[in-house]
This record gives sequence, C-alpha cells and structure tokens, in this order.
Amino acid sequence: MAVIGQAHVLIVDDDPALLEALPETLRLRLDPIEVDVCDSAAAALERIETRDYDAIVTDIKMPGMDGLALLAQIQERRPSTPTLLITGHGEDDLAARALEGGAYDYISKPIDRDQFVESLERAIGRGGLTISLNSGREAAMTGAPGRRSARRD
Amino acid sequence: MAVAGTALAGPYPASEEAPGSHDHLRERVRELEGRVQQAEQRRRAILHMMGDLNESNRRLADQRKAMLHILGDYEQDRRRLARQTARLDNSRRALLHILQDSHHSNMRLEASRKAMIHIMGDLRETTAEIQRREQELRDKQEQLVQAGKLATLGELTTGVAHELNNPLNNIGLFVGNVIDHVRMRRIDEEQILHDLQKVVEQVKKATEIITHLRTFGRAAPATVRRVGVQDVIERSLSLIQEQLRLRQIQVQVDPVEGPEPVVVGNSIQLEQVFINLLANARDALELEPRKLIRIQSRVTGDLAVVTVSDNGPGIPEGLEERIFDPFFTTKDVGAGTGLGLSITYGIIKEHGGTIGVVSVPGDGASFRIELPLAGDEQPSQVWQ
Repeated sequence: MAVIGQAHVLIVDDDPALLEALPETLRLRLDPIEVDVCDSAAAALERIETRDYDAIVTDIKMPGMDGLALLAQIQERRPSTPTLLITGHGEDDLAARALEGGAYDYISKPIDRDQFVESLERAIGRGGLTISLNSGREAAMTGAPGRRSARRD
Repeated sequence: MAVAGTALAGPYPASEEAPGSHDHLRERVRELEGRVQQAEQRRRAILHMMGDLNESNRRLADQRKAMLHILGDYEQDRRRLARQTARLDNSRRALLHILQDSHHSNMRLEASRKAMIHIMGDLRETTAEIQRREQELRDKQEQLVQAGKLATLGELTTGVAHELNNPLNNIGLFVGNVIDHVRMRRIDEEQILHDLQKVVEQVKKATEIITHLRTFGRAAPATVRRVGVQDVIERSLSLIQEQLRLRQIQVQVDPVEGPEPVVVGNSIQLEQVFINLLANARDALELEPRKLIRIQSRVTGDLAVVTVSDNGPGIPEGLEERIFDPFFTTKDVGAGTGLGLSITYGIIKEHGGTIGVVSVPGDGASFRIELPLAGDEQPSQVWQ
C-alpha cells in the first residue's frame, strides 16, 4: 500500500461491542494503525480539539448529538479530516444527507468489512494526500476527489 | 134505668078486660111481677153482658196497646230497614261504580297486556339483536386488539430493526475478525475466544429481541396467570428503550415501596399497555428540552396502582375524555393510528381495572392505572 506509516483514526459509536470489534478489524487489516474510540459525539469533539486524525468513523444514530451534527462540527473544525458515517440498514436518506453534509463515504450496517477497510484506506490515503497537497509536496498524485464522486453515484 | 122504665110504662093488655076487678088486679100484679122478673133477668143478663163487654173492652184496650207497641216496633223496624235500604242503595251504586271502574280497568289491563305482548316480542327481537351486536362487538374488539398489537408492533419496528441490526453487525465484525486471525495464521487463542464469546453474547441479544417480538405479535388466546407488575414494566421498557435512549428520554422507574404488586392477567397484553403509554409519552416529549418519564407502582388497599407520567406539554383541555376513544389522535395524519390508548383502555377494562389521566396543560400528563391485586389462588383460565 502506497500509504501512510502509522495512521491514526477515531471511531465514534454508542455501542460498546462495536467499539471492540471494529478497531480489532482495523488492527488486523491495516496494521500498523492506531485507533481511538469514543462512545458519544460530545466526547469525540473533545478529542478532536486535542489532536488531528487521519480519518474519523462515526455512527449516525446516537443519543444526544447524532453523527450528522458531529460531521458538521468536524467540517467546521477539521475540514480536511475525511469522515465516514455508519448508517442503519436501508437508511438511504440518511446516507444521502451524510454525503451532502460533506462525508467522505458512508458505510451501511451490517458492515461489510472488506468494503469498510477499502473505503477507510482510501480515506486515509486521501487525507494524507490533502495534507500533502497543502504542504506542496507530491503534487503529481491526484484522483481522490474523482473517487469520492464515483462513490456518490 | 131506661130499659126498665120502658118495660113499666108499656101497654097493659090485661086491663082491657076488667080494669077494676081484684082478680084482674092480681092477674095484673102477677103479670107485672113476671115482667119485673123478666126485666130483672134481662137486666142481669144485660149487666152480665155489660161485664163481658167491659172485659172485652179491656182486652181490646190491652190488645190495642200491644198493637201500638207492635206498631211502634214495626215503625222502628221500617225506619231501620229504610235506612239499610238507603245504605244498600248507596253500596249498590258504589258497587256499580266500582264494577264500571273495574270494567274500565279490565279493558285497560287487556290493552296493556296486548301492548306488553308486543313489547315482549320487540324485546325478544331486541335481545337477539343485542346479542348479535355483542358478538359482533366482541369479534371487532378481538380484531381491534390484534390490530392494536400490530400497531404497537409497527411502533416498535423502527427501533427494533435498529436494535436487531446492531447485534447482527457486531456478530459479522467479530466473526470476520476471527476469520482474519485464522487466515493470517495469527492464532491468538485468547483473542479468538474473546471474539467468539462476544459473538455468542450478541446472538443471545438478538434472540431475546426476536423471541419477545414473536410472543408479542402472536394472535393466541390470552392465558391469564399471576403477573408481577414490575416485571411487565421492565419487559415493556426493554422493547422500547432503544427508541427512548436515542431520543435522550430519561426513564425513571421508582423502586416499589412495600409489597410488590402482583395481578392476575395476560402479561403480553399488559406489556402492550405500557408500550403504548411509553410510546405516547415518547411522542409527547418530542419538543421538550429535558425529557423525563417516571413510572411508579405500589399497592394501595386491594389495588395495584401504576402511574406513568411525562413532563411533556400535557393533554389539551377538554380532550382528556376523548383520548381513549378509538381512532382519536392529536398526531398528524399518518403519524398515529389513534388505536394505542383505546386498546390500552380495552385491555385494562378486560383486566377489571381502570385507567385515567390527569393532565395540567403545559405541565405533563400522568396516566394512572388501577388493577385488582391477585388473590392467593392459582388461576389457569383462558380468555376467549
């Protein structure tokens, strides 16, 4: 993989079982990777204040601030951090709203691990890319935005 | 004496022969003496007769007196009789009146009897009609209960789909992780075992949800048994709590003070009651900044009393009576069936209880359910 050294991602969900299973998946598939978890959007916002992540994965349906509101906050505070939103089965309207709100991609539950890992890899790659572009290096590597719109169709 | 005088001064028949001779005088004396004797005899006879007449007269006078008495008595009797006759006449007239009246009454009674027969006929028809309607109503009620269950089930589906999707998702992730471990030959036994245990946990979670839903939706005859009110409340909460949690509705179930209320009833139907009340509160709290539902249960006398209160906007004034009517809803078209509370009402009534609501507009609504406590006997009947 043409990526990333030690990537650092944040997973936000109110289901403790998911907060165990999903990081393990990432550690198995995307080693080396560091995964932080938060069980609420409010906790996630605090984390984001303190550090930058290569990608953020968040559930939409959560008590209190939901994933869409968190996405809006991330867009405001860390606009370059790609954010993936997890939607329930068949919740296409939420998926559409997530993409309109600036999400990098959406993952529908039950999560297909291969697709999820693939999407997150791309996100991390793109995230790294954006930073690279901003810092004026590796200008030749482009194409991530095209992928994004392709996913959108 | 007049009679004697007449006899002495009468004619002298013997004197024509020799009025001055002695013989003749003697003859005459004898003749006169004879006459005197005769007259004396007559006088005596007359005296005798006079005495008799006197006697008769006295007797007659006595008899007259007696007669007068009798007549007096007779007069009295007559008067009495006349009075009695008058009275009898009055009685007769009264009787006649009575007879006439009774005739009228009889006629009226006859008319009433005929009317009664008509009414009885009508009543029989009405009774049959009522029985038919009652049966119809029972059938409808049964359908309504089932429809209500389905409506409640519909209420639950969104939340449950979400709830069921979570364990399924987690199972997929954990199993995927195990497969990765095996494929990559990174046999971390402890981690694999941990993941598989998590899978079992999640399967159990999903199974519980499905089992509960299946029991709830089944159109089975309602068996009644002793049911702990607190258990019913907890099971109802378990079905709907995901929805409440996502809406940040805080549910406070107060611990029971004193003996735990136990009632005789159908636990599924009673769960339905609380799910409906909780769903109702959930919708009422939609726009509240701080959302709270409070459930209290206790034993009061021979009743189990449960209150489900929320701090929502309350029920608009004048609607407290109507909210239990079927198909009455304050929600937008398509948002509510209007069946929830009427089903709730029906179930509570069937359990011999009552349900009412106290609401102060702007200060929440509080539903109060009263159910008769279970006795000591073990019921095993089936409601049809």
